[in-house]
Amino acid sequence: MIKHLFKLVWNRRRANFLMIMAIFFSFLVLFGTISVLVNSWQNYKKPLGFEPERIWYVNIQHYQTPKDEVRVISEQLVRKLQTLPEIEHVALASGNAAYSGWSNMMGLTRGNLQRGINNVTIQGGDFKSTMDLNVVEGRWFQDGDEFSNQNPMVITQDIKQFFFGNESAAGKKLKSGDKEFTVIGVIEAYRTNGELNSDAGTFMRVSSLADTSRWVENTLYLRMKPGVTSGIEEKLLKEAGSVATGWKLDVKYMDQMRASYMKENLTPLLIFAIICAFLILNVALGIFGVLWYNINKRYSEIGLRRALGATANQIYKQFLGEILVLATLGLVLGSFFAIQFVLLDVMGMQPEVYYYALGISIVMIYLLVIVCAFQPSRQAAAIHPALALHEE
Amino acid sequence: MITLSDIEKVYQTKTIETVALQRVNLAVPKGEFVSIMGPSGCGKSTLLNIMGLLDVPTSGVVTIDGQPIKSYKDKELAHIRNEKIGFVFQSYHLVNDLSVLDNVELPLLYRSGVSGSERTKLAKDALEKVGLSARTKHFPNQLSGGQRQRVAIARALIGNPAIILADEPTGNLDSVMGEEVMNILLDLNRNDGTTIVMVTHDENMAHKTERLVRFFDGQQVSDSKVFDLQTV
Ligand SMILES: Nc1ncnc2c1ncn2[C@@H]1O[C@H](COP(=O)(O)OP(=O)(O)O)[C@@H](O)[C@H]1O
Ligand SMILES: [Mg+2]
Repeated sequence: MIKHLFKLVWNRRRANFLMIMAIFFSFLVLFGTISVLVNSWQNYKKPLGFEPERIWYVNIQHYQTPKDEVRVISEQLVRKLQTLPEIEHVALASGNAAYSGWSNMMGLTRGNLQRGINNVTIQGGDFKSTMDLNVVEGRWFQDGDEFSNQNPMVITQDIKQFFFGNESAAGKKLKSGDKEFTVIGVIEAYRTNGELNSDAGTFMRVSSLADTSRWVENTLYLRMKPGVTSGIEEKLLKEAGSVATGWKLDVKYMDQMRASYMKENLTPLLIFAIICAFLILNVALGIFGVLWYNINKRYSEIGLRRALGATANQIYKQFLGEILVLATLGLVLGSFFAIQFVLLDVMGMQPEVYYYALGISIVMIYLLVIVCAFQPSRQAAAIHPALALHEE
Repeated sequence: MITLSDIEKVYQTKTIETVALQRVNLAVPKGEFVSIMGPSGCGKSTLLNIMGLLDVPTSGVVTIDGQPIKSYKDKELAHIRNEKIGFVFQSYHLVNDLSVLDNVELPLLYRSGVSGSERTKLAKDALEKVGLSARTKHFPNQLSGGQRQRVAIARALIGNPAIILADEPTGNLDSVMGEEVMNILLDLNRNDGTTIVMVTHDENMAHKTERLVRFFDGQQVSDSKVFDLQTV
């Protein structure tokens, strides 16, 4: 019977071609969209590593203040802010935070292993408490680490996995060029590309504002107390101004940064989803059309098959089966192209993302086809043989 | 082989009621070739449809091969049609998207336990019987009317049915092609003992069969051995 169905579809290939193409294109777009969705979802499920709520992300401009003074004033500013009752924690560190659009990559090596990694330098305050980082192995930085000739570093879990596998990382060395770092701790994550994107992992180090070989970081991270609103921004700037005269502090709220990041990333997805919906609607209407047309045009064929011994149920299965064959042809063609995409890694995602997407798209197309073909096929099965064969 | 007892068929539409058959009693013994004649609209096709279990009588009993049809369950009827009955229609009813061979194979598709190669072999045999061995790969629209009807006959006989029901099989054919088709049916009846009920408008065709039943307005008006007709 299956062979018969293929024969019918094949012999009617010219009439079926458009339908197969519609299924093929819908499948490809669906596959692409679902790949991105699955990828985003898998990223989203992973821990972000920090808590963006109530974080104020403050960019400092020092203007004409001489370099030496900047170091002293920065230190005073951190201390001043720590005394404010509205602020829970303060840190001065590099600005390459999630949603900021900044990145600062550095190559790290261990033997033959090497990887470009996001690099955060902490210059003052308490970065761990401010960002609510989660230490899973070893320890966080402590006073004096910024002067240690061991160059202590804290790495994220994925970096630890990459360089050390399941071994413990604490005390082990990683190199960047000639400089050697010592891992003192591992944090769960610190995803600087945001929750919808994957990233390369992060390592953190501390440096002293007094160390003149390094520039002064110009981003303040403020963890506000719960209930504190943007209304106190003015007061805060005034307090800061009393220490850092003439500096400009540009305040952004991390939850807002996050919201616009989400919007930016989800809007294209939404657009693709809408395109998908249209294509799917197109396929659905196509299936309806093809089937209604078929049933009308093949009215006497249905009667004939009944006369030759087909049950109503067999007619139903035949019509459903033909559509499933069409769908299968479209899907085989589509999967062929989809797999090329995967092999060429056009979208740069984990292979498993593609397998999921492939599976989900195939199931969705089949479901769609079955749902659309159900009613017309029932209708075909209900045709009375004597009426269908009636001739004047 | 087929017995109709007190068959009545009434078509009920919203506005009108058409009595297509009235008190029809007809017994067709095994191996007989019967012609049915009558003016258009007198119920001949309806009669054939009821004999072929394609339609349900309003009242009365159809008996096929000694078995009265009690329940009109779709599955059972389909099975009987497939096993016992072959249909031939005026307009051939070939599936245009299938090759001649595939068209002929169709009935066996609905019969369990017939392999693909067996189907093909039987279809070739059937086509040989109707003299179309050379046309297996053609499609119906590449054939003449007479050839098409011969394909339809091959399809009707592939399942080796006890009965062939033919509704004006020569109605669309010129006399030469009609003659060919008629001869095939006669051979089938004589050589294989197939019971044939044929509706026809053609007295000449009817007179080649053994028995002629005339209908008028849903009722039998005469039933005679053709032999009798010719002598009277
Ligand atoms: N499905 C139907 N619904 C209503 N009336 C029908 C139907 N089929 C046939 N008839 C009517 O029944 C009568 C017999 O039809 P039919 O058996 O086709 O006649 P014949 O084959 O002798 O020309 C006609 O009056 C026809 O109009
Ligand atoms: Mg008729």
